[in-house]
Amino acid sequence: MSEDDVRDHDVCDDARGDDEHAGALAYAIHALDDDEQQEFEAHLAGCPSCQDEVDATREAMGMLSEDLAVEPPPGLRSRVLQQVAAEAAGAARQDVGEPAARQDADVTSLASRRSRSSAQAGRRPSVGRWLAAAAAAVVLAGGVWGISQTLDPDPTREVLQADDASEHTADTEAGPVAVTVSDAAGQAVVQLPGDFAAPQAGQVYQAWFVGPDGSARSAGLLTAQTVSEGRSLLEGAPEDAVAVGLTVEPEGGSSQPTSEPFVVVPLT
Amino acid sequence: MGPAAGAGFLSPDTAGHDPGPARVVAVPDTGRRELFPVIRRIADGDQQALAELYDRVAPRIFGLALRIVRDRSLAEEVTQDVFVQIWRQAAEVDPARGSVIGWIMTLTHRRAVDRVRSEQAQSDRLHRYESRQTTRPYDVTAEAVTDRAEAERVHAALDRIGEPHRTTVALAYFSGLTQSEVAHRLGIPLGTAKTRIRDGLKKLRGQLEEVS
Repeated sequence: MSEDDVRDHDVCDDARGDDEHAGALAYAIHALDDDEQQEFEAHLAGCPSCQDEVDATREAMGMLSEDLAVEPPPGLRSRVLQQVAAEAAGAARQDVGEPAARQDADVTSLASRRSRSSAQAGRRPSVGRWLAAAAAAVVLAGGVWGISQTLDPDPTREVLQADDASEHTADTEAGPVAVTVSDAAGQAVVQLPGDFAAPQAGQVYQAWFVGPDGSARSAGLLTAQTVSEGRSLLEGAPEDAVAVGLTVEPEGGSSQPTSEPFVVVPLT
Repeated sequence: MGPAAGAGFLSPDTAGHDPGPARVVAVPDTGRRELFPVIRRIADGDQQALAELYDRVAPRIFGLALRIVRDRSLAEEVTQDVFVQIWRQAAEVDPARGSVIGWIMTLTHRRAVDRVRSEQAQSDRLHRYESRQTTRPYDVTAEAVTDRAEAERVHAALDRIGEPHRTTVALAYFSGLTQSEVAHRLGIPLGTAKTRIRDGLKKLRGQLEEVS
């Protein structure tokens, strides 16, 4: 098919007025931007033929992956099973968060799920981006938190009292959040104001070391269980991190941030 | 750092880093009917069933994720996230809408594309902020289309749809570009990009449905 044929075809579609169906295939492979996706989902809700088109495309594209199979690294299996076991334990403790996690009508539209959940106003401050957040030195009122892992308190003191300790802060509505870094110890400690809000049921806060390229590396989970601590040793070494960011994540944490940070403490 | 935290560190350097030869492995039968009983057990909270599902479909999840994110540790994270999502959403699988593997690969694609986009977005944000940033902008997609041998059938199916559709579809599906980004990347009008994606996918779908 020549380029001209293609264009004529497009014009033809427009002329027939069926352009609203045109996004089905691009939608199926997640090629719409956020606005286009929302618009198409509104249409999709009342258009069974588009839903069929989406389903058929996804089914076919799923076959494409058959020949792309690559053996995952051996350690991954146990990590997956551990994480699911933790998730299962969490769900048993409190099945409050679970219905929300299961509510997606279109199981694949994670992006819209994210925007839906951030649209649940007031649940968490929707602050900008790593950097917008850093510049604005953000938000969050009420509560305290701590790290989920059992941590020896000594390394925390060691960092705070290190000769080379450097403290970095970001103001929030609840007061300053401080990150103390000791390069000698190769570790960092986050300290929270007394009124810092605890994470909601089914959620945790997760700390991230933000690299110079904007990448995020998990620095550990901060759960309501350890609220009384008020400070936590971050997991891993700060290395060349330029900021520490905090996000709200589903219980068990995420391997990468799934929401925008609500606090960013620049380390530079 | 716990094992689950992973090395989710995608630098401009690792972006260009070859994730290593893709060792194509034999995949157990993941047929339509086969997986429904497993997914039902997972929906009932059976962790053993999830382990069984892992053994059957993890290479496909990891392989597609790797193809999109181009980095082994990121692909591991995507795989891990996908299994957690399967665990949470298994009850939503609707046999009327397609196969279990189709659902899983759609989850994988969504997650991998989101990861590529968020890495890109975080990188963009930091570049605006970090004036001392000197490395080139992270670009996961530029070299992602044709630089590695693809498995034969994928390759063949893509080839059969011909240009310009092949490149357009590959940019959208494997590089995670939106229609607008595809248009920008190829220097073509948005309407043309949309048409090529749509027509290319229709052709490809025809190809794939034929061989199934």
